[in-house]
Amino acid sequence: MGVAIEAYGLRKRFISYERVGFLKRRRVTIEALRGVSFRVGWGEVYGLLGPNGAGKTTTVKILATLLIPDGGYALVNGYDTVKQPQAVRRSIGLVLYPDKGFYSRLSGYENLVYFGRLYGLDKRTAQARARELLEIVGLREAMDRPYEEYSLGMRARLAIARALMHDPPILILDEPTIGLDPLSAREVRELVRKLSKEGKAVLFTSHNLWEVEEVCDRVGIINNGSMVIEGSPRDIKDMLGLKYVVEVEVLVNGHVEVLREETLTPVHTLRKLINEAEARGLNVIRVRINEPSLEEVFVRVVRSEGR
Amino acid sequence: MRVGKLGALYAVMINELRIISREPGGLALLVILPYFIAGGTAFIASFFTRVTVGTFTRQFLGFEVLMLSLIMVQVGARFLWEERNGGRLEFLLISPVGMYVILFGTSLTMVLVNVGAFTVASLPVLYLNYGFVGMVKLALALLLLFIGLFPLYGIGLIIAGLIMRFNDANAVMNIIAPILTILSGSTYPVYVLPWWVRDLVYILPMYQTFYSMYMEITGRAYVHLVINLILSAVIYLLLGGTIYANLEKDFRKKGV
Repeated sequence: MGVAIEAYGLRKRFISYERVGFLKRRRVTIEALRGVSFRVGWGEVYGLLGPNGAGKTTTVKILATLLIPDGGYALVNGYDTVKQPQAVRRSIGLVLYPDKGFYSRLSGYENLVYFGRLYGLDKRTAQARARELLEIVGLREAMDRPYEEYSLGMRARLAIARALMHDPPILILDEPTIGLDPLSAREVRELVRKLSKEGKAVLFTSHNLWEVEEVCDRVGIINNGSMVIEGSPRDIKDMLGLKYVVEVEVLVNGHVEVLREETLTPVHTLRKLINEAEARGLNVIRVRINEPSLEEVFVRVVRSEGR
Repeated sequence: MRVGKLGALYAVMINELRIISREPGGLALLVILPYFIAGGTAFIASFFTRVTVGTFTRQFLGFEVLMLSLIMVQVGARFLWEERNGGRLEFLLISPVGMYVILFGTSLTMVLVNVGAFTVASLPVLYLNYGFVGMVKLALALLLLFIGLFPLYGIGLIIAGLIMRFNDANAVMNIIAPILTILSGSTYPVYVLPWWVRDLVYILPMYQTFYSMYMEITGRAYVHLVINLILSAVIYLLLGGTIYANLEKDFRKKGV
């Protein structure tokens, strides 16, 4: 698996001014990124997680050539985001604000055709592609309705359709399922998985941790502008030593009792608990292994980093 | 199949027309208002025909150039501001076609609508005063006007860059629009101005465009004016393009 996105030591600081009186203002430096590095392979869905203000959107904007980093570099499809921005732009599809970013009085179809043409598609190709994508994202019925009449979910789906208009090999999706109902969100996740199976690389940010766990092959948790931990959801849990909870329900004198143990080796513990129950002549009714969630990982990592 | 910048420019113009026509009163803005303004200008200017035909032509062309200049330098910048507020700017900035094409297409749409109106309004008067030759001369004058749009677009690029940089449209426009109006030199006799203001007027493209058109229609020598206009187009475009590129880079450094 080759590398689709490579970020190395990305640094970014913003200057802000706070009012401290009628005319006076104070210069404030905000360290948005402090050397973020990660890689996304072809056919991989990479989840970027982090609390608000962690630096996720800054990273996304650097990769999309909307921001120039103060330090480090990023290669997208092998092109440098600062030195070869045009080549990068042709390689990516971006979802930045799922709830806006379109012309309100134009229909979804007209919006897609227009943005397709800005990406160099001729009129017929843009029209055909727009129809095809509206079908895929389930907006075929509403394609001629003005964008301003679209629900939040419809807007988010249209944003994904726009990102796919020029069939880019890389997708950068900044919270694409925000505001979507569960069914629509699942459809988006299925679409993302399908696209990754086709070989596209996907960078996916979300606040919905179980969603990231479900859809992403690898995850990076970013906090205070630094990459705190990175790996597959399972590897991260193992790295942090998060324990599984093994539960064995047994029948004791007609009552149900639960034997519970936290462990790093769930199979071994399960076998041990069953053996113990059987040795005591207890009837095992049900067993359950609760895997630690990404949410636990996230909370532990972010808390330990001092947020 | 992929198309080039011209295809994208056409798409931008059609899109702009579509958006304006869907706004409340948009069709009136596109179809009726330009003719109303151009017709009104022709009506007012026609009073000068009682004095001299030349004065009428001068006033009419002056108003046309002034109006188109303001449109050309302001529309792109205002468009940029609206795109930013609507969350669309980022998607335009990352489109491979480039902001130069998008801004030019947006400005050109409004300019063409108004040029059409002014042309229709001026045809009968020019025909009455100069005959068929006047209409042919108008066609050449419009070509000069088209050349004159490029330096104005250069200034428009600088203003667009300033709006991105300072994150404000109204403050920038409130300063620039009156200055351009005063320094257009197209609706009043320039010789009344102090020499240093007059020099400023001469180096701005509005006066050069207006004066070239006027000289063409009244049939006087104008080759040096056309050369000036072409030079002006090159200089202002280079200046506008360079300043805009730097301001956009600065914008990308400071944060979109």
